[in-house]
Amino acid sequence: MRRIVICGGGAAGWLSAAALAAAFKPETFDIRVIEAPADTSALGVAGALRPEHAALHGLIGLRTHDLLSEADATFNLGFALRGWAEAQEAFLPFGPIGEGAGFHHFWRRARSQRIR
Amino acid sequence: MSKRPIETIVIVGGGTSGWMTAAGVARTLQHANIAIRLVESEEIGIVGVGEATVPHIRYFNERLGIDEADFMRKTNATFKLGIQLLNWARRGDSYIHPFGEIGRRINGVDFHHYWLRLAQNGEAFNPFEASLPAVAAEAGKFDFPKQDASIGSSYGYAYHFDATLYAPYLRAYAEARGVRRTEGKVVDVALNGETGFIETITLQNGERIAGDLFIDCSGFRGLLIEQALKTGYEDWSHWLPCDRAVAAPTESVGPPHPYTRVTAREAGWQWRIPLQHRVGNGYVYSSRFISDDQAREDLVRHLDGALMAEPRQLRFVTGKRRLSWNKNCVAVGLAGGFLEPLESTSLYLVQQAITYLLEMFPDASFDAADVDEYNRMIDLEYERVRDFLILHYHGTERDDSPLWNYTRTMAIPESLAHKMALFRDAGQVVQYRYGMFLERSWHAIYLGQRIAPQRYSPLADKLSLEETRRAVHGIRALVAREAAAMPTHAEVLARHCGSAA
Repeated sequence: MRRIVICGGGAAGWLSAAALAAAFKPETFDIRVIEAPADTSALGVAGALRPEHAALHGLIGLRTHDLLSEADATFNLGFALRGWAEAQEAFLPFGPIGEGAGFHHFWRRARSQRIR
Repeated sequence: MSKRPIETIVIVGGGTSGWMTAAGVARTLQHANIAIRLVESEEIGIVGVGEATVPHIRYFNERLGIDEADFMRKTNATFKLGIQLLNWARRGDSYIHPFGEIGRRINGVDFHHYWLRLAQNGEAFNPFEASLPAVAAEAGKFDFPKQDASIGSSYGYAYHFDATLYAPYLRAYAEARGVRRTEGKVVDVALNGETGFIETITLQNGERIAGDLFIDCSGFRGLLIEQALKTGYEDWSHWLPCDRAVAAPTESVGPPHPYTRVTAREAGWQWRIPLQHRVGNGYVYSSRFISDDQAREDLVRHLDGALMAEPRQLRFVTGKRRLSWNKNCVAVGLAGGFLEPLESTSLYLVQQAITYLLEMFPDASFDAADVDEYNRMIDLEYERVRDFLILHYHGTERDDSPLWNYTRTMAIPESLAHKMALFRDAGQVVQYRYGMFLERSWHAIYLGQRIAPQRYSPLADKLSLEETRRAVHGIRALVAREAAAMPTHAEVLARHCGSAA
């Protein structure tokens, strides 16, 4: 029996604990999480996740349904950037833009030919 | 420097490098107003010793719109499911490095961890029995991979073909798309006084050809990249000591195998490449450890068919050009570097050189950022292959000749030492995204070279021993059934693309 001690709770601490518990046979590790008492009067900080997170949730058996009902979750399709450059808002999607050779080349060509 | 588009590309040298480049450029840039010239000399023989490939070549052909059956017919080609390695870790050893998985992940954990768990429990078995392409190849079977989620879709394939037929095949393709071929030998290269860029090349008959972008496919001599631009070469002979090869074609004995055979020998290794109508053979060796005469004798003694021509000798220096792209010159093929064809990577490196050039196609300003990035990517390709090949030599138990004693004990690149240490300790393969080889190839060589990890991943303990046995042996049984049900390589060849004799 080996011991794993996780210092700190929150998402990082509890995700680590959950993942370790799920990945190995139950008797493999003695997992302990040490965290400061939670301040339950404060509203939790909202966080955003990326699609890559789905694999981890799958491992620990966390379903979309659980997130929606327990963590007040909404869906995230990407990130909108405002005010970073003078131009209009930019959007970083979770997915490809266009298809084939880097779409940005077609976009540039269209611009150079004044195609809107 | 001018930002105008490239107007003329001059390719120096034919052979597979030159014509693959011409075909690739003509196809991809056929809409652009670019003149493509290729200069080659019939006098200068191309290095045609039979070619084995990796699956990437299929994408190259596909991008050109080439019909597979037509290509196979015209190049005397056979299918290839992998490489059979004989006598590498120990004399008498045999395993196949397949184009596909060994087993499959169970519960998200790689198969070899379960193999090791059973082996450490006294239940060792041959892990390659869990690889469909390996088992099929050994049995002389072949079938096209499926497109479903079954085990039939878990492998790929490549070809063996006659390189001296592939070049003219691509030449016909390229010339039909506007590439202009000029017969001649280059005797002079003129550089711009200020920038050092290549401006024109002069042929023996006096003709001068100007260009914006020059592609050096002139082989080992590197007419442009080295003789004119003095780029320099990084010599890797201390890690890969083979520097010569003696090659000869032989008559077929029986139906062609769907795999390349590479047999470790006293001072190097011998290849056996089955084509439709004959077999290509060669002994790649180190002149430090054996004489040319002895090597030639050893090759001839180990042939399984009648000699069809006198053995020919080649010399090479393993390594790479310091810069594949220097100024306005890109070296493709042997002009860019050389790694022995132990894992059939020669045309792969040509293909990557062309592919990256097309993806990052410059304008006449030849921006340093573009050139540097290209070189970084090509260097990475070479280093990945280099490390993988060194593993074959260094990961041996053989001590029966000076070559093996040397490679078994030599200092190796830090990048490879790190990889081997990681696998030996925990059965993990260093992950990387670019360059050859996939994790499963590393697994194949480690396992085939008898490099077993000290411990398997504790994640593999989640299943009980009984569940593990069921899963593992279930895969072996499935592989055996699937391979048995496949047609023979000869049947598929005849049906798909038997070439005219």
